[in-house]
Amino acid sequence: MNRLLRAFFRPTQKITATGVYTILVIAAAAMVLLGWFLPWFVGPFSEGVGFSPQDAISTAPTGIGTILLYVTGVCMLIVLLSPFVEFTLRARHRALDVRWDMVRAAASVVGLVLTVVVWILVRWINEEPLFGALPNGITTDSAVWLEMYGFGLAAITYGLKRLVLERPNVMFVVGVLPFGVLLPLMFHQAPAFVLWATQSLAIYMLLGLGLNVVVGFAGLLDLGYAAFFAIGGYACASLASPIHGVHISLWMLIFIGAAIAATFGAILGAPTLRLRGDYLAIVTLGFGEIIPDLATNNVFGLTGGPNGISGIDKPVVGSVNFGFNPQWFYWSLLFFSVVVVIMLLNMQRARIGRAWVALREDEVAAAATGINTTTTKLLAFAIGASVSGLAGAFYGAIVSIVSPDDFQFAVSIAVLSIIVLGGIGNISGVILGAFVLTFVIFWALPNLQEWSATLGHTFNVPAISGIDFTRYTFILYGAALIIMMLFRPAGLLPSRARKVELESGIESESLAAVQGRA
Amino acid sequence: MHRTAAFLSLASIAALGAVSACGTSTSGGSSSSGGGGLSGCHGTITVATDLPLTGGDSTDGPFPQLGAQLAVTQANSNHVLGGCTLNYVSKDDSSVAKNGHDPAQGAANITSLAADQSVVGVVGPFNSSVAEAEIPVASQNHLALISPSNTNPCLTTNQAVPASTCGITTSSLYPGPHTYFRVIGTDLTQGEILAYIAAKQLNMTKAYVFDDQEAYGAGLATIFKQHFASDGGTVVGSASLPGSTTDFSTQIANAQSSGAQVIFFGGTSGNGCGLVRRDEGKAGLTLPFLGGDGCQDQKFITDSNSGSNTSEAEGAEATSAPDATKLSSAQAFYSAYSTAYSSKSAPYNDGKNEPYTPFGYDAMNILIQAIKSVLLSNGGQPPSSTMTFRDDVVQALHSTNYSGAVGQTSFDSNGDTTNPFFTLYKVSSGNWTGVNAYQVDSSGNVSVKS
Amino acid sequence: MTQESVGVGPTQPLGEAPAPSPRRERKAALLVAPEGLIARHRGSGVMARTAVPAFRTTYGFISHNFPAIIMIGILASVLGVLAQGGPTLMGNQMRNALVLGAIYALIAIGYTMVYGIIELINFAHGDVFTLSGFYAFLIADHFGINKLAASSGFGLLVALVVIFAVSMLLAGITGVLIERVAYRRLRDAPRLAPLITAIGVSFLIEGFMLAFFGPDNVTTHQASWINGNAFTLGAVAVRWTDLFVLGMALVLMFALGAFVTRTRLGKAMRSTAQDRQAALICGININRTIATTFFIGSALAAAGAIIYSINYGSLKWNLGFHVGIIAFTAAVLGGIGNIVGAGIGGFLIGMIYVFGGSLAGGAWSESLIFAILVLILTFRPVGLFGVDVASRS
Repeated sequence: MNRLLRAFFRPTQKITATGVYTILVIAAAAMVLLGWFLPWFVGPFSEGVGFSPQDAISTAPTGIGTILLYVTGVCMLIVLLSPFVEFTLRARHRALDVRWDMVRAAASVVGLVLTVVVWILVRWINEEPLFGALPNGITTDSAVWLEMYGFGLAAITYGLKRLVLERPNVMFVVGVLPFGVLLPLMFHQAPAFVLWATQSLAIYMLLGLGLNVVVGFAGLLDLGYAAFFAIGGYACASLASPIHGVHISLWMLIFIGAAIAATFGAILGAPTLRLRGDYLAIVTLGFGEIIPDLATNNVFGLTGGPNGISGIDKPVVGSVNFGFNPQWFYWSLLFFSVVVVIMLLNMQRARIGRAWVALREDEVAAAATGINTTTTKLLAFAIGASVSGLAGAFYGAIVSIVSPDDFQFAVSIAVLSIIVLGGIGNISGVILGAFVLTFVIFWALPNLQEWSATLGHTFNVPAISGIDFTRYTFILYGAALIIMMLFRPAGLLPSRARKVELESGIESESLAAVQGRA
Repeated sequence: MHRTAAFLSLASIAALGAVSACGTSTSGGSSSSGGGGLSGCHGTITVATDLPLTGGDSTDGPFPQLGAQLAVTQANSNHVLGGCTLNYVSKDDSSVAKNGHDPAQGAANITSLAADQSVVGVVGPFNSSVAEAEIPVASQNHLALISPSNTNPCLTTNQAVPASTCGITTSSLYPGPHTYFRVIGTDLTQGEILAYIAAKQLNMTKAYVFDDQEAYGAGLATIFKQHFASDGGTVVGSASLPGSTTDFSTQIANAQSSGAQVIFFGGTSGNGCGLVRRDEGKAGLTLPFLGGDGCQDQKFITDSNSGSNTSEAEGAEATSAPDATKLSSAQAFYSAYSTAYSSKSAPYNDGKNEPYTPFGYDAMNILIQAIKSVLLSNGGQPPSSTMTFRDDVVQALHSTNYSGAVGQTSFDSNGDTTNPFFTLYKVSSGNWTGVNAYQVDSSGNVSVKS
Repeated sequence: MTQESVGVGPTQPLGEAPAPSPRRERKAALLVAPEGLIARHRGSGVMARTAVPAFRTTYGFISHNFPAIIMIGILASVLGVLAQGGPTLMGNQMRNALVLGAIYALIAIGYTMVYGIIELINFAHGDVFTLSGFYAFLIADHFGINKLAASSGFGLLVALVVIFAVSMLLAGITGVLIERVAYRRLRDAPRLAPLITAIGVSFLIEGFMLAFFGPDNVTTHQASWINGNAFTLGAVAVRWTDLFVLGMALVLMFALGAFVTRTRLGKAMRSTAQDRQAALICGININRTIATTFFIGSALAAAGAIIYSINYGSLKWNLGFHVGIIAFTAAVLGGIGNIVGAGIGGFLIGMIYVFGGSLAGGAWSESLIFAILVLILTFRPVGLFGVDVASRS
């Protein structure tokens, strides 16, 4: 017990340990909550029946269904509230009693089991097959799968808390990946999540991970990251489309695109070697504006002008053509994201990663200790750009068109916001930031109108259903950015080293480690 | 106890959410009047729009969206589908990350609409680049897609244009059946007519050509240049400026110096069409001004007159597919629009502020008519299989013959509207007034339509 | 991104070693410490050890002569336009360039002042410009100022005074408000946080204008305030508006220059820019000084917006971003933190934009501006009028 507590509060051992734990816990709570209210989030007007007391009560035999649902609801509340309790306590440097871990784990397991029971019950009462496509059952399936996902994740996290804290990265993969892999199967009737995950989340997460190398690891502020995304996207599009008659498989192109983007990263990084801070930001901003301009002006006849490049080939694996099926893209993006994350985690711990930290903290001192600042900086640019090359290759393949509009300044800003919001320099933070911000940008803001309409109709408040949210998207986005920054200037999951700097003014990671402050 | 109470309130919220989800699913409309033969029809059929509504595109997209929404509202209140009700879903293909239309968002919207088994047809998209991302998805899911505004000729066929300028092959665009239609003529016809007007009607030999660096504007300018040259004219200069440009005086000075006799703008009013005319006045230049349908709207006149000369717009000319604001068939639509959306803030309270408004309305009505004919031929009920329903709707659309706000619409096998004719309009006393109607015959000759 | 340790001035760049700052005479209107812009220890740096000597020589030559190269470039493009269309075209374009340059100059000064004093690229500045244009529009439309301006010469004068005074005041208050709400709390936060809030404020203001003034160009009815041609030089007509724009911009810039160099508050601003802690020790009210900077910067943006409105006659909700980025380039060209430099930079950017655009076709004028931006920062990060880099190495 003591060891567990010590592991929990030992600040230096693993920077990401509590970060991963936090992600798992919050993700579990979010999934449970989302599953409960899913009919609300996904297509309020579609004919789905939700996984909610209402359905169970109306379908299950009176009494049993209600009781089951109430028990499930209590489990849900425990899963929802425990992160709050725990983080509040932690903020006051107090620990949660270890017995609670057992309670929480048990509640999660009970919730998981009851979810399945209720699910079977609902289907049995309705005389529907347990699996398989139902024309109108879209949200029901998704809701149940979300509940199961959430409770399952909570059970693993709380039940194996010690393992999570000691081997965070392994546990992250073990805990999340199976669910991630199963997700498209769970959601085979409701692709909204998978769609969001492939079209926005994965692409922006990859971009965030790449930009994090430049900004977070090496401390080089880049405001024109969309330029590298554009280079990757255009390079891969022109090598796999009718425009030049070249058709190379996406699996080759990923590496070609990454290599081309990396090359350009180094080339565009070269003029900035002597610059620091904001000046670097301005130069990169300039590149970010020039590259889409070149594409618009159809430079050397390569880019197709304002029309862009369209008809981009779809990837093929064996006899499976990915076509427009987001599931296949989901799995391959998941695979490559994991590869990239592992690569970057290793890089962060390797010699180059420490060189980046040194460079970020003090360039002169880094140079004095024998770090070649030129190659270190250029490597940061190249590696950061190569990830966006990968993202660009996939983006073209998914959307099947790239045009200059796709790589404007606003994209650079969105990616930068993701990493700043998530926590600069912290890979888990970037992933969380990508989740939160792409959810806001690509899911919440476009659907706000529908949700408010539903809310207004539900409670019969015409004032709510009458709000024209499309007019206020920009205000909401801007306000969200300001509020998030004002209240979490270091991001949602700040990297431990950065947090120490921020709170105590200590500049070096090692000093923080010596003092053991968190 | 506390916990139970908290849960109870949570549960009640959840229950209410579920009620709303169920509430909308019950099919209303028990009236037996209207929709002859469909009174026994039972259920809800979903139609959708996918148009850019926010950011940089909020100047155009919401108008056809509101037009289409009006069509659905009217159809429901008139019980066009008898006992069946139309459910309307509006998707926004713009995102704040792109500050406007986003092909990825558009493709995602169509995919999620296609996955919704109750959706049988979509009106949209607005932008050709979004269309290129959406058409394959719609085609693969056999989902009808009717655009109110895509004028890029390459979207339907590339026989008429050199394939090199398209960069698209129809086979890659249509992995499934040809489910894409548009109720507006293409740039190809319009560019040719515009060149004809400049060279043969205005008898100008030197043109200075602007475009707004967007697919529509740049495409129209390219086609205009080709045809103007083949009609014996010379393009003495051209400028391609981003839509964010607010000062065109540099290029106007160039045009003046190059001895241009006519100024052509390929692009939309939102991207500076009227501002070019304004700066023309500022430089004291009095050259004829010619634009496409993107210019032929009230915004052009407002922008042109915003300079020191408040009647600068006078005499400017632009072609448009039949300008609905002048058609008697559209008057009922415009008054219905004003009534329905009187509470909207300007400019959205008046459909005449955007040329594409009635096209959105007609596109949706054409879709509804197609659905109706499918229901009728299926014995007054929706086909049981979604795919069959969608295929039938596409088939019905191919044989569309609809008389709507913008006139008679029918589609050829490529989904293009047949016999598109364009009208030349001229600003006179602060209003666009029709001059002549033009059409292009099958061998490519332009003629004035009497 | 790192927290600045106590004792190191806020104008020091990230993680710069706290070396004793050489005391050197600073230019009067220079708001930023020139040492903060580039790596100081060039001798022991990377360049010295790895770069080929020939490369260093070339680099040094370009860096040293950068102002001359830019001037030659501009002159060449002017001559190019002369060859392209004769003196009439050149004259017309020169007039266009000066008018455009005057507006950029006024916006650039706001950027440069804010950057000089708190080292923040205030992305919202361009939108404050547009917003204050809308203030002027509302005032002029709702309080009969338009009628007053049209009535007589004296009426026009009164109208101008009223509209400039009120809009500049409102814009100044807006600027102070933005600083208070969005930036002050984050003054000691990681560097990226205020940058993101700045972008957030920019989106917020743009969204506000989009919601309330609509998506289209809004006619401000101010273009007809000043009418007619002042004189014609050959075939080049110069309008009264052009003279007004130029004159107004110059007057405001000189007034600001006098304020910064002559007044106590100006002195406080300069010292805050140089070393915030030291200024605090000297008894300067930092918060008030920074608020003043925001007030003046925003008020100048308002003046720019009114001038813009009188010249062009219309405003649009997203105008600020585009104009802002170009004005920002002007500030960098003149040496960011340098007020006089920003003014001159504005005019130079106007010339590059117009003459470059005239020669290369409008499609390239923006790329040209950003290419210039990259070149300046590569070869001469302190801008044209900053302290000479090469002499310090």
